[in-house]
Amino acid sequence: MSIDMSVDATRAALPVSSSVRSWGGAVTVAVRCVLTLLGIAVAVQTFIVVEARPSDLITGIRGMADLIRRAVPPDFSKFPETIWPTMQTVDIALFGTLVGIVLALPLAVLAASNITPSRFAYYGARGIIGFARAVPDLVWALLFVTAVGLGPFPGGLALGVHSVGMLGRLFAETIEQMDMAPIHALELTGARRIQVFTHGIVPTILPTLLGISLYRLDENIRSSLVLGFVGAGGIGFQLLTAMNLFQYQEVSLLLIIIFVIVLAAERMSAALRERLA
Amino acid sequence: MLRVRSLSVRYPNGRLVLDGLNLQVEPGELVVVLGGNGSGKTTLLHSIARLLRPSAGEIWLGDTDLCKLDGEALRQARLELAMISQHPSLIRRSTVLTNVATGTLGRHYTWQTAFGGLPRHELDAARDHLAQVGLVHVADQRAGTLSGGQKQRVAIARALAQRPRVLLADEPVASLDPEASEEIMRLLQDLARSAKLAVLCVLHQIELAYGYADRVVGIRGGRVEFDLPREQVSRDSVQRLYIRDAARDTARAAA
Repeated sequence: MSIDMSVDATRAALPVSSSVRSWGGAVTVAVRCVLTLLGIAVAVQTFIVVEARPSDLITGIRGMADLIRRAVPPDFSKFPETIWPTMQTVDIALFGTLVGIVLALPLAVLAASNITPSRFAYYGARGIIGFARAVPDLVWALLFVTAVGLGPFPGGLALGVHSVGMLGRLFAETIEQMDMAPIHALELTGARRIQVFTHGIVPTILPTLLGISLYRLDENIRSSLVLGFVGAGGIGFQLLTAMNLFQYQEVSLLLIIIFVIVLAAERMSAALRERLA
Repeated sequence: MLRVRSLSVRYPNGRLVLDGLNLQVEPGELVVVLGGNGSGKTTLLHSIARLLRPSAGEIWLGDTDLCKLDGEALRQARLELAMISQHPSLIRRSTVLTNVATGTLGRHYTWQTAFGGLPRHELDAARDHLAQVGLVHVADQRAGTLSGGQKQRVAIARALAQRPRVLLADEPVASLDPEASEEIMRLLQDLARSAKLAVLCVLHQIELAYGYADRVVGIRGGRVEFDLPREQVSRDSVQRLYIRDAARDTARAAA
């Protein structure tokens, strides 16, 4: 009897709940349709805005084939002339990364909410880091080329300043995510503030900071290749010159060198980071 | 050695957590504090370590009233006051030996410990402290690789390296299995006797209190209910500590 009654009760309740469910389902379907249409609209407008003409790709094949024909074989006789710019490119990245680390570390300490000495320092450091990051490295390079002239130095400065922004933020986040219990335990032993930093905070976060720095070096090597295009020295500058002089065989040699540098930097950085983990 | 006189702590929300509490721990003595959740046990230890400022009362460590200290004077006083907690907070990536020796940092000038270094003789002493807790064989391992019980013993070794007069232990066995818990309590008892330390230990395990304490202090509602040698502590009086105060709960709910 009681079973019958409960079944009846379920039947009575069903129409209400199922109608609610079907309304909810209809709304969900409608929202999904609108979102899909919106997605398609966004994709279509990109084609219009960038003036994408697939036909040009087909007619451009001849031009590309001509370019490749003129670029092979690479002119290996120019190799000795590429050694110095290659070194410059790697050193611009190294210099920029080192400057970035040295400046980002103290800024990150100030910009980490859990260990910052004051709110004023926190907002000041966050402001500097934010500004250095917001301006792209290529723009920094243009500014420094104007300020100190052509050559690798403005390139190094540009990467240094931009790295302060990128590293400063990641360093500060690493410090903020650190487990503070061991740090408080060290404070309780009567250790001085700076000793808590050198013996508690540094060993805890150092491997992560090194990993981030290696990744930054890898990124900076890619960037330093491009910085040459705005006159900031290195292999990028040589590539731009060769392009302007239609020396396509030299261009292909330079592209091979760039490929090797980027791949080597990526592999070395990844291998070192793996060891640190 | 450690004397707590009429200690009161009122939290910013107005709740009175400690209410005129009195307590004394002598060198060589292991005093266990028992009490239910919210009775004020941890607040008592945090007040003594001066992690918070008491509203009223005195905490005497020898001839110094810790309640009156701040800044550098408080740091100096903390050198004589070691604390271990439920979670042994070690620097995971540093070696066990370095972790132990960091207990001595406050006794050295910053330049002596620059760039993460530690004086040679402190590292040697740290090895001796590790031997005291039976862990000298793991001295060069990273602290993060140890088991929970081992980590707690390293935390105790670090506390010893600090050369304190008082050792505060806040539920040191809460996250350990029964065997490791017995081990830690035996160690605390030995250290109290051999190093003449005044040990004040907060526990939830009544049996461990009966097994290892010299004196047991029962706290309820921020007041001392009893303070007796362990053999004089009755099961009934301990049970009463854990009976919730209905009148207080009602008042709290109304607030």
